[in-house]
Amino acid sequence: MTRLIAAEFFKLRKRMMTWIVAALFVGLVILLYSILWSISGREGTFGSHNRFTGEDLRRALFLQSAVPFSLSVVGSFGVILAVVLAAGAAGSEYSWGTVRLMATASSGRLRLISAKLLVVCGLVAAGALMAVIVGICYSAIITYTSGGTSLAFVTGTFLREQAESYGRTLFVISPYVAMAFSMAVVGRSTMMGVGSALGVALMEPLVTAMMREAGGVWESIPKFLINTNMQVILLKNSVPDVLPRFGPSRGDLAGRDVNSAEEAAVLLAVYAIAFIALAFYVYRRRDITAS
Amino acid sequence: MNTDQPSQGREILRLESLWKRYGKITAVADMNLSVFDGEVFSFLGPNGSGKSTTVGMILGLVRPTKGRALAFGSDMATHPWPALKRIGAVVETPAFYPYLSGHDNLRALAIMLGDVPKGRIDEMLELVGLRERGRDPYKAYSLGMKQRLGIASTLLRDPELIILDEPTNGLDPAGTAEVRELIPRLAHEGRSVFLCSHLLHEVQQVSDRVGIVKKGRLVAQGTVDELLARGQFLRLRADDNEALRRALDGIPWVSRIEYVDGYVRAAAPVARASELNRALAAQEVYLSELTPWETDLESVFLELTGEPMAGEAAKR
Repeated sequence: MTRLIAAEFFKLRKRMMTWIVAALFVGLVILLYSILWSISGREGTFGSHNRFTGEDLRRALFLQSAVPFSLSVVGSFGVILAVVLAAGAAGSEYSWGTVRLMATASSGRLRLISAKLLVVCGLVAAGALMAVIVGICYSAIITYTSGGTSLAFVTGTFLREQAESYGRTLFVISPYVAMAFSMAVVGRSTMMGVGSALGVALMEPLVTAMMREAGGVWESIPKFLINTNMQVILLKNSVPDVLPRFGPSRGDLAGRDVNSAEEAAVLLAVYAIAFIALAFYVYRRRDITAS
Repeated sequence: MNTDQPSQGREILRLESLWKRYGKITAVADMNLSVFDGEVFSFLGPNGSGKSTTVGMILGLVRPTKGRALAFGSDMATHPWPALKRIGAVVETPAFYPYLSGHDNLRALAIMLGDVPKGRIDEMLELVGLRERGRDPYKAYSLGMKQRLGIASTLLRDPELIILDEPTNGLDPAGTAEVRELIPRLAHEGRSVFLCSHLLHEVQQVSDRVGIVKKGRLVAQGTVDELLARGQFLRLRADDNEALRRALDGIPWVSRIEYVDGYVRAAAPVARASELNRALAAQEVYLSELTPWETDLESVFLELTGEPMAGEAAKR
């Protein structure tokens, strides 16, 4: 298994797509920080009910919020990149015809697909960590150029919360990663994986909004869908209100029929496991041919 | 032809009543064959005859509908991994990662296999003549170079059984000659080779035994000599060919009598030619010509499958 993981890592490391995805991740975080830092220099107030000043925004960009804000970028835009990576890792083997080579060189189909999935998960986790590190670096620049030099907020509790936010964010994107991977295996194509997972990720909020408008039995359906439960969990990441959240706020979800964070976690886990189980079942049972 | 016939050693591959159906289409039907230690076994058949499906089942990539493929004693549908460690294969067109160089493709494979000695990759690239181009991306390779890399990949793990599916496809004449020379050499090194090819003259030159497949069925198998013997024909001519034909009809060990280019062709052992002449003379049919009909594997193939091999047909 170690050998299979090493081989998968070698292949993904050498692949341009991996580095493009990583560069996009880093670039996105830098871009968002740059835009917000620029806005924070403006006069006047902004935001809903004009509650915030530029100074509020600048302070929100300080180190204390660097991790949750970077992770909120991962939890939204990062999903797209993670889906591309996962679907590409599984689907490209079919389009290139290398699936046969790998299957005959590995020590078992399930081991091979497990290694592939583990490496994808590892790279997604590494990408998220990289986004966090870039966020921290940019935030450190903003903090120190704005005179906020105290690190007194760094306590054990603070560090634990940041680690939890990181784990939470990776957990909520896992159903999309699993779906992209699974659909790429089932459809023997990268496009199938990317199309399915991104289709669901992008369409679900729209469909959810329509269901809520429709009322009645429709209104209760979003509670069982991925995006709503993902947002329920991501709300636990303490992003200051002044910063963009890229999803519904606590206020948006208040009064709606949504699951508790624990229920949402179970539901998302079921989705992720179901998709992975489907990929494993199909890959194990089906004849291996190129697409 | 390889004249060193292998002693029927250890059986390393056995197909037992192997079937593969895709819905109503039968790709492989009741395939039974064995490959022995150190022999070159060639698998001949037209396109779509089930060769690649059979290879897929041998490698555990395709699940048989019925029957078993056993390699080194392992059932390849249920427990292929111990045997796969001892097999090197290129199925259909070689496929590698386009963004990796030839060297890195072999390296990825070597990492997976785990027990590839240091320096083996360069050694294999050297063997197939890709040492100079080893650092170039695979996507820039010609079909011939891809084939060579495929052969290098099969040898990377020093396998006991090598499965090559059309290994000279896309190679230039020099490359083809190298591969043709390489195949018996691999067998002499103690490896067995399972060769799928449509180039009959190539098979005839390198094979110990041949299996001919038609529409998923193995229609003949044996040594090249045995198969050539199957196709023994005599060419006869008499003043009255119609009388000759009638006379031949009455001889039980003569079959498949037909007119070809003004001659009568009949399937009969060449060794019994004088006996045949006497039998015809006894019926007052006097021959003006009696010669063996030159046979090669292609005619045997044509006779068994009813269709020419693609490559051979194109040459005509």
